[in-house]
Amino acid sequence: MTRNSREESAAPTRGDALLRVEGFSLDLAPGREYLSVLNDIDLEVRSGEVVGLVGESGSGKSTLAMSLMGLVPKRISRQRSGRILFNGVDVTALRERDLRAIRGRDVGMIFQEPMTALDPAYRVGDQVAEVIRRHRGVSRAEARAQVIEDFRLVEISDPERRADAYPHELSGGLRQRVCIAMAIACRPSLLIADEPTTALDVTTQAQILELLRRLRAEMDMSIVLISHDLAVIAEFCDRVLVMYAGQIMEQAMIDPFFVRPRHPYASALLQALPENQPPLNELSVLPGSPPPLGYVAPGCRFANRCEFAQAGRCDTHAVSLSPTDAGEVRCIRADELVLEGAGQ
Amino acid sequence: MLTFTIRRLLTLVPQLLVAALVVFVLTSLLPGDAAIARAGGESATPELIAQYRAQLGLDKPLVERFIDFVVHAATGDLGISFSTSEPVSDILLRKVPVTLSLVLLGFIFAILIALPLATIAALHPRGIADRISLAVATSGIAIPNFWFAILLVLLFSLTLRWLPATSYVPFSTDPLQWFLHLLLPAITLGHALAAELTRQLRASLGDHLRRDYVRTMRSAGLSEISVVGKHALRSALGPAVTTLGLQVPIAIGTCVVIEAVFDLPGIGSQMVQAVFSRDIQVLQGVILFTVLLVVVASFLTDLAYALINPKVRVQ
Amino acid sequence: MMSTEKWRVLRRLAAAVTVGALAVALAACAPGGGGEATAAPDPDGSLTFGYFEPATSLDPQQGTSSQDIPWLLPVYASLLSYAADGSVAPGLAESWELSDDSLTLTLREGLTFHDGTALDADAVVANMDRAMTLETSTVKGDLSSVASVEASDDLTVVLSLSAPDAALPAKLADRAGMMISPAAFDDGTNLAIDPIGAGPWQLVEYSPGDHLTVERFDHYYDPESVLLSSLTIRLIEDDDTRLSAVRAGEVDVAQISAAQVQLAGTDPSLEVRTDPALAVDHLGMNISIAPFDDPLVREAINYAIDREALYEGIYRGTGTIAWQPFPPGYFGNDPSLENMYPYDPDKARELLAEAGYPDGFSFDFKTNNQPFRVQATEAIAGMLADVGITTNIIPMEGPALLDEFYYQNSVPIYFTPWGGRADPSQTLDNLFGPDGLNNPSKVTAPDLTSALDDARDGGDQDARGEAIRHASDLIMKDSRMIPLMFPGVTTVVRDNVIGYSTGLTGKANFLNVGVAATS
Ligand SMILES: Nc1ncnc2c1ncn2[C@@H]1O[C@H](COP(=O)(O)OP(=O)(O)OP(=O)(O)O)[C@@H](O)[C@H]1O
Ligand SMILES: [Mg+2]
Repeated sequence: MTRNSREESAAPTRGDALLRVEGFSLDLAPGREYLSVLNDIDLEVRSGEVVGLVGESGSGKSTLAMSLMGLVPKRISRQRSGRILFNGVDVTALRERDLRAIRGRDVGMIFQEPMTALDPAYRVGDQVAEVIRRHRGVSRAEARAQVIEDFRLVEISDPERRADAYPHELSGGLRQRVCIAMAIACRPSLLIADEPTTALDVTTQAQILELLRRLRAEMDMSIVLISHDLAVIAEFCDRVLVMYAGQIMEQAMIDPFFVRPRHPYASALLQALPENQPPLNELSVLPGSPPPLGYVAPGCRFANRCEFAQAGRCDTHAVSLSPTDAGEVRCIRADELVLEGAGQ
Repeated sequence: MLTFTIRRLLTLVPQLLVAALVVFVLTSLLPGDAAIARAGGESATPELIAQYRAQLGLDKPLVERFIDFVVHAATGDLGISFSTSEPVSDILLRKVPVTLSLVLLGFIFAILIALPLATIAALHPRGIADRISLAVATSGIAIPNFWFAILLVLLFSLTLRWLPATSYVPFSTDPLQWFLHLLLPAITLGHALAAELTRQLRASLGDHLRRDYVRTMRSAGLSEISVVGKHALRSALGPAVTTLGLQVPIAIGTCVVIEAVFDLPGIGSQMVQAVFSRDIQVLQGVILFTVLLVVVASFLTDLAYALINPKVRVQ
Repeated sequence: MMSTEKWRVLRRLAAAVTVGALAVALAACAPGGGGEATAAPDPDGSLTFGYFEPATSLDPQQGTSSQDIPWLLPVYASLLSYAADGSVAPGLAESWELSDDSLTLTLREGLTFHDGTALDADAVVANMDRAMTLETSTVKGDLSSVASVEASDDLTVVLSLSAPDAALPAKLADRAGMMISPAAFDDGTNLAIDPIGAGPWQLVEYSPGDHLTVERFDHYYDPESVLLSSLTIRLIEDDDTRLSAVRAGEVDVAQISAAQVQLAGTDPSLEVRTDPALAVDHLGMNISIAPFDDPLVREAINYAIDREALYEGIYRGTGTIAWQPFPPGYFGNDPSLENMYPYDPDKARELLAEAGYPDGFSFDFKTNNQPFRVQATEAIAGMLADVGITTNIIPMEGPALLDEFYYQNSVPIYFTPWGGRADPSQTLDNLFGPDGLNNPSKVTAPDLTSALDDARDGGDQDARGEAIRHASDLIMKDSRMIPLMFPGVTTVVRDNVIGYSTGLTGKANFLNVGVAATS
């Protein structure tokens, strides 16, 4: 909480910060009780930047991604603190109507499961067209033309015919392309991609990533890419954010991060990354398991699994983010430790 | 879609034949005898009974009677009523519109009750609306139809005097009166049918609202009306349509009660009359019609399901 | 279809509870009906009558149920008619003369049927011929004493008799005397649904199993008695629905059940009346089946039945307790038989012991599954159990029960309503005669057989009365009958209706009934 961005936030946001999250904390109520899921999140995405978000399953990546556009149902959630500024506007304070105007138009989202992400009852072209018409108010025919164009853009061959297909008639890769077409249909300035390739085979994965890379360059979008796969992050992102148990543990530029991570958790992730190995799904190399949802440790949340943890130091006080050469880290021993990065 | 329709239509033929056989055997197995009833019941003479047996063809072997029955039924000739000497097809022509009107309006009311209730409930699980919808759904099952009907009559006909208590006016005579006379019966039927429909729709809509595509639609900025009404509800209607189809026989059974309470001259009351007068010919016609209705309903259900769910069509 | 019956029973219960509870509350808010109608009958008035059973046919010579009569009465006029006291009066025939070997009828002049066909002696002969020869005629039996029919002139018809038949005029006042237009016999008219008679009203529309609408026939022989311009009979089988229809003003007159009297009474715009009638509820018996073949056992049952309790509990205080086949006030009623078997369970047990059943016995007590009959059967079974006769109640559907009683001879005793007949001899012969249709045992006694003959042969009204009383005495002495109740006919009448009552025959009668003109 002592981070200087607190003070900065009163000042006008920097011109190049498209998205800025400040001290954002969110509780969810899976049952009757609210449990802390996101804790004091700070992050920034600049125009044209690609930011990677990594972390173990359940660390809150998707919840954070959904929160960025106010998509976590109010019924089961409670914001405890912070704000989310998109283009300088606090998204958490917007009315649902205004949020809806931003979603899909200024911010596109794609998700992990292309198999189920489209409505099985409608032709895919119509679904994309509906989004276009919603935001642009164009005629049916214009929307259709735009759909065909976008389908070409996302490299769907024979777009006229594919637009008339139902989702079940398309392969997973094609469906993900349709989802991307929908997400970029209004040329958003930010694309949030929540594990867009996890469910796809390796070849298709590569194609989709290549497509995203191309679109980003052509359209000058910012991208938040959520992934388990550090290799993907390394290849694709400018900067990386490491999440653990609802907190950002480290934030760094991609190259220094891989060479010299500053957080023991980040280091552990990188070392568990064998060259050319399948994506790091289980992260089982780490001994122990993350704290249960809602559990608040007195000290560092990672302490109980950390090989560098020191009793009486690490487990007594909450740890805050401190600046590093390449970004920020949430570890009181960061300056004492020299941690190993990926490979040699 | 066309091949699907044709394929589905072809399966109707054996269905109807089996139905005809079952109807015929069951009605022939009824204890008592049309000839006795026809000959005057308590004051019948054996001679008269024998005469009627011959006249009604009841002295012929069962197999012969069945073949006669199917051949004639296929040409639309359902025989002559044992008790009123009226052609059974005439009787059906007169009474079927009543029951069809009732069932149709009943289903419309069921949908009018179930759709908003289920939608609100699914959007706010465990909320007040959810509880109300549960209560309504339960009441449809827990409150006997005749009891509900009597309450409606007592309130709207006898006390407030807004609506007629009994009888039927054909649509062709006066559409408004047709509607007013059917209003209470249709509400009774709708209330009974809405129970299962609400439960089913609430569950399936709740399920669909949790699906990924709903998240996609929301993340693309579509309005809730579109997300829920156009996307989630449409797919959620699939199982609900199936439920509706399955409820057609239940609805017809319920019509027996409702037609009695509201004195509607429909198939239900005709069925009861036919049973008590052992009017096998009419009974066969009525049940055959009912079976036809059920079969057609299941056909339409499949068709509707295929319209809603494009996957079904290719299978 | 058993479930149909079940819900009927159920709904009766629930309806009683609901309706009972709400009636009191609602009676207060129901719009006031406001007293008797005093206005003169409206010449353009129309009336709707609610009836509980469909007609089996509107051809009076082929219908099979006595419940057809209300459907037939508006359309058909009979050769003779009943006076209010049940005696025979002129009809289409203005006079008649009965002898041992003939009945001579003199028709009124200028009669026509609804279709314009003349109703003359030839038309009567054609009707009688059809009634006696048609294969499926159901009035053949009524005319079994008629050997031949001839028209001696335009207005005179002579029926030659093969045997004396005192009941013939009464039968001709009933269904057998209803005249159908002979023009309809051969031209393919389906009289079952398309009736053409010479009655006070003619057909407008008939929807079998639903309603019959008729309008005034201008050439009816007694136009003064036709006050209603049109009349509709609606079939409403469900008791509660029928009463609701009257209360809602959709029906003007309807018969209701005893159970509904209380509720109907709460509505100030309705008159509830119970008119006496010939119908008698009794225990129908097959006295060839042991132990009911023993008069002592039957007598014991007569003593075992608490008719007061039935009157209060089952009949809800309507009707008249029955001690013999005919009700008080009827010319065949014998006052000395009244209260002959007062409720006396001790006496019943003594008689059973005397008959050789000191510990009683048991039997299958079958009954029609109509709720009312099941209730009555249950009540009676309770009374029998008190004197040691245990029963196993088996509710059945009507046709199946009748089949077992009449043709299988496997039902010893069951609760049954007897609808009454036009002539007292018809009742006596049917129930107790050696060939009686409703006497499946065919068992009788020589003295009873001759008493029945005397009653039939009769002579004048007084002599016949005497003979009928004698027959009743013999029947009751041997307990050949276990009479329970003359239920009468309970009717609700809306306050705009003028002059409605039910005659002794128990059938609805629409002559001299009108509705008040509404201002
Ligand atoms: N709708 C919800 N209701 C209740 N709890 C939720 C909900 N969504 C997420 N959670 C919980 O919040 C925590 C964070 O979940 P989230 O899906 O954000 O993690 P993640 O990092 O995206 O994991 P994964 O890598 O498996 O996608 C988890 O413990 C999850 O169980
Ligand atoms: Mg996730």
